[in-house]
Amino acid sequence: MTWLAPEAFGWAALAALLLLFYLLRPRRRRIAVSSLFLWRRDTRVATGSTFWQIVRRWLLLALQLLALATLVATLARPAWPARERARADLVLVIDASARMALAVDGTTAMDRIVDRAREFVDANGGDAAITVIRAADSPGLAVLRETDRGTVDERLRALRAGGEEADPAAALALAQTVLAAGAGGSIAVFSDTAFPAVDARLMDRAGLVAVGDPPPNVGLETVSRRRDRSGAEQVLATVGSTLDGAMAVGLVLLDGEEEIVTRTVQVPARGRTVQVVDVPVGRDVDRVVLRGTGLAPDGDDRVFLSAAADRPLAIQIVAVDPRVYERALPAAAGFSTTAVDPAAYVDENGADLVLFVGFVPETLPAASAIFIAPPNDNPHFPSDPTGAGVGAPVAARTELTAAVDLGYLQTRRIAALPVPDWAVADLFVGDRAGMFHGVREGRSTVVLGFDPELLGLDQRAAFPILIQNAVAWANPTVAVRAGGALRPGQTVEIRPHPAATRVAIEGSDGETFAELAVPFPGTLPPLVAAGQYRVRQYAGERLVAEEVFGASPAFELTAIGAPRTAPPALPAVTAELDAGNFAAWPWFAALALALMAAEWAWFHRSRAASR
Amino acid sequence: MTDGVGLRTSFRARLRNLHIASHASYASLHTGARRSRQTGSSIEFSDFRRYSPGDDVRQIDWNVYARSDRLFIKLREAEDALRVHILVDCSGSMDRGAENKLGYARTLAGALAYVALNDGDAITLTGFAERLGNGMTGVGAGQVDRALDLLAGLGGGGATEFGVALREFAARRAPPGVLFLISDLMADDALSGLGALAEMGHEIVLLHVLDREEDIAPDVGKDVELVDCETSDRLVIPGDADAALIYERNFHAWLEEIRGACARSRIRYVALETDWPVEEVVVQRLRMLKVVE
Repeated sequence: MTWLAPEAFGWAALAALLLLFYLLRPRRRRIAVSSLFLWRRDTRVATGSTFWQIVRRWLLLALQLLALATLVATLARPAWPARERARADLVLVIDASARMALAVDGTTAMDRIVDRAREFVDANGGDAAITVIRAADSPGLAVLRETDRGTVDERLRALRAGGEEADPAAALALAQTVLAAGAGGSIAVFSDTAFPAVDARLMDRAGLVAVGDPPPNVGLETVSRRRDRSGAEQVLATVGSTLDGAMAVGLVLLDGEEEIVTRTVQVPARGRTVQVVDVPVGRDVDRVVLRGTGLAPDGDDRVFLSAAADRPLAIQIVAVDPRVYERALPAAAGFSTTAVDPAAYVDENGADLVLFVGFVPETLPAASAIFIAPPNDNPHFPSDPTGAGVGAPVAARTELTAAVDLGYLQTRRIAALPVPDWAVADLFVGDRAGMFHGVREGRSTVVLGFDPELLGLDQRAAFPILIQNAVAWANPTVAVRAGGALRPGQTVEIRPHPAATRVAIEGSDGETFAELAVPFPGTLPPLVAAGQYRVRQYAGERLVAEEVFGASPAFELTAIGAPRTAPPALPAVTAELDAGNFAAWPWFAALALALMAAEWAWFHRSRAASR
Repeated sequence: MTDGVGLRTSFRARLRNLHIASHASYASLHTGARRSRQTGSSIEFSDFRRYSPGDDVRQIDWNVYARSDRLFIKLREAEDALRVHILVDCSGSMDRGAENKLGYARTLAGALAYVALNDGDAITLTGFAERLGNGMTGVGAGQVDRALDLLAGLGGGGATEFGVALREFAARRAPPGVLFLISDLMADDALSGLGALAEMGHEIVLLHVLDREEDIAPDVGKDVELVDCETSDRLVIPGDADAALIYERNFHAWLEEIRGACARSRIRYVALETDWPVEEVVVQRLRMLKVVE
């Protein structure tokens, strides 16, 4: 017999409650009498031995405990396995993730895995019932408890790698379910050495048969879409490589089966590159793939989707003295830092984020970047000396200034930078910015127009918070900005500037959508039409803050590598397993009812007799 | 003034006017005030019979010899002492009750012994429980103190084994007489013991001592565990059982059985409750029942 819902045995704890009630009952009085023989003449009293007296005393409790046990057993769904269940189970979990389709010397990893699985069955299968589970993004049952080796062999050879990343946990959960419903056995997982670690409970009675190492490859790490300020749609793609040499690949945007954009991308050795591709007007991108000699087939374009999440964020500090920033960056896991002198700086070093201090390279890096105290004469963010000293600096409430007090900064030591059209000001100096951030050509970019060391900011608690805010925002592995997911009907939250006296919201048609006086509600009414919305905050007639939102009825910025949902396959397969069992729970339920009826009858019989 | 068994002086004075009633004649070793079926040496003429060798020559009636030239022996009625046996149950069950049953039995036995001894009867006084205990035999008023001392020394304890005790009594081959059995009869073999006792030729008077709270209408409540004071056996009365009703039914059925057995064995049955004064019981009740006269 097997139990299809063994977790129901937890209800057995109620027995303790029953026992407690019985133990707390008043104890029986003991009275001495001249003789017992007159009492023993009554058959109801004289039940014979002390044993039967004990039985009588505890009969109600025994009946209740039996009824509870039977009820719990019923909830645990007992089942007698069908005839073949007497056989031990051998469950083969075949990794069918996309990388298994990669060919090396004309043979794919899937071919090698299937061959190894067939050998394994021949050598270790015995008379076991074989179950084959295809581990893809959701587990699939290729064959269930098959004893015919020919059928098993045929189903194994028919397996193909999928176009997605496998979910090993879901496949192993299904395998455990198969084992639990049968007469015991074991699980063999066939994958390469990159098979990810899963919960130890799922690996119970399971072993990994690693067939080779994962082949080097080039693939898409992240893909997201966004609409820029002009309303044009763009695709952001991070292409990564585990190859030892640089390689040129084709980045292809597909609308259905039609290739609408193809760009050749040079991928550095064991590095990555971020690509921003403009989508032609009127076209809709529904798939992004890589093309190249020796690359994976189309379905392999998500091979690296989880890689960015699994490795620490690589930060490079380009500074003469990087110690202040090394201290300010989080020491916790999730970051790794390297430092380099500006004179030795070269691009394409594999960093996810580069922190430039007092230095701006002629060619901006492919990675996200934070520029601190850029020189006045740099070609990318030239400062305007005339702006310095105009009014007190005003900090806007942005992601970068959250929990950071910048109010004490002195204007004369802050460069007044013109705010590029791709950026949002964080610190206003007159109508210029002392600090701003935005996405520039697909790269998250932050510019601080002051030297924290000169201002003494590095001695304050605000400094590491500011640096960490900037790093968190500029982290390129966060592919989608929160503001980009707006849709008509969705409420927009506005962060008011402390100096603002009114707010004007302008739609993409140039018309003012709404104008509100402060104090205005932090949450504006839902947007009513697709397009770009420009939110301007004024202090009198002076613009103190500006934000741009993109809104589209059908356009949703979604990273393709978003967390997957739970696999839905288990209920259907469980039902299939149930069908193979002879359900015993109705018998248990009937027994539980009979015991409860007996307990009820005994109780009322005793009550009636005592009247 | 009282003694160890509670016989006050005034009670003794009333007892002196009584004697044990006997409705039969018995042979006796002791000469007493009772007529016997045996011929003896008293002056009361009974009959003649021809002399045979070995007869006491002093009993030859020489007058008859002179007239008839034949030797005749004068037979005279013997005036013998009545045998009174008093058996007192000293088992553990007797040593219980709101009015202790054993104390009551001791007083009752003392009163009967006093009556018998003062009347010149020969008494045998014995206590018993699991076995027959040591007792005393005596004749005449001079034995009263000894009898009362013996009764005062009887202690309660042990199980009642009627069969064993009465077999031992039978083995003593006590001469037939009036036998008082004072007991609560709280034993499984009480009825069979009574039957065995009746076959010994005694004129048996069963004085059944019962205590109201202990034996007649015990109030034990419900859901209790009863413990036998003699054997320490235990019996559970379930909470759902009406103990009072059960006991009342059993008790009356048992009394009927005892009465029936006594009637069949010609045993005079006298039920006594411990809250009845012994003095009134002896002087009035037993007198009315012609146990004493």
